[in-house]
Amino acid sequence: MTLALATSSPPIPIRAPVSEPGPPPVSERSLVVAAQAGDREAFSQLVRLHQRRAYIVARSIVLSHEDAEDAVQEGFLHAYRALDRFLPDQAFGAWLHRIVANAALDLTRRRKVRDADELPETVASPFRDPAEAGDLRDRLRAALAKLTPRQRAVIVMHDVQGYKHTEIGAMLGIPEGTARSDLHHARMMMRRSLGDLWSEP
Amino acid sequence: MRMSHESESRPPGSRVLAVLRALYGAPQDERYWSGLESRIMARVATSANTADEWWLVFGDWARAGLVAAAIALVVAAATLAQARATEGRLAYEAVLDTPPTAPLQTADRSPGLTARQATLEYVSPH
Repeated sequence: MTLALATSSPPIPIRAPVSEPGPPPVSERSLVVAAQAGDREAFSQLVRLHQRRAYIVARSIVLSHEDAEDAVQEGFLHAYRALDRFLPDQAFGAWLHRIVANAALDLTRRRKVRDADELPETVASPFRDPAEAGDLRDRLRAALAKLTPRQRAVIVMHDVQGYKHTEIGAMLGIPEGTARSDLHHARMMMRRSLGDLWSEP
Repeated sequence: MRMSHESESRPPGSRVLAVLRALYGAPQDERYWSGLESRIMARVATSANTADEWWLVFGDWARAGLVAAAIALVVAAATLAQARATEGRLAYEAVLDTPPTAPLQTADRSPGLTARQATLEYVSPH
């Protein structure tokens, strides 16, 4: 499956905060309750509300768009099956993201190492020179592939998508301190792989 | 050393960040998202139907299983009761039919002796 994006697409908004702490919005709670009662349309609305963020979480962990989509589908399926165990007063988003992150980590473990990221060339590029962009992209992919799935997830979630350590810890099921430590090591490894290019303005 | 570690773990510069954002950004096309929603719901529907079918199959098997379990319970209870009765009868017969292998040692207290004297006589008869 290819992801067709126009080269003239505007810059991709990345930041997608995890559901805010505290009680979820009433409408979402009622959707959850309805879905728990077997209303599939209500669950469909929950999918519509959360699939973008779920994708971003999954994409941070896996190496390709296709795997991210698989992880999102798996995650929603797991969530649907476990819906009766979810307490509606909790944040559905946070619960779902954790499930999706687990699905993505499982997928990555099963895949082990993929040879190449199949992201199509039609993704919006910040470079005028396609050769330069392609080279940097290839080097980045190679460097990211050397990281563990968790290190990759942490660096992408933090540095690219703007999540906080506490949010990352909650999604990946690790303590905040571990997320910090993973970020530190991931950055060091990226810098060793890419040299000064890593922090070039 | 600490300074060196900190500089090594700096965040990416803007060039790398731009490529990373392009690599890891979510698709922008709305059609992609409606398609993904449909694919998710199709899997949910398949999963739910499969679960329903399994439940129906399980329901049929459950009835048969309950009947079999009830029969097995009755048979087990009858066998247990019979085994206990046989065991009791055999134990009773064994006690009644088996002659004692050694004479029972008995002691009578001679009349006129105190309890202490009788004990002494029993312990040391000679």
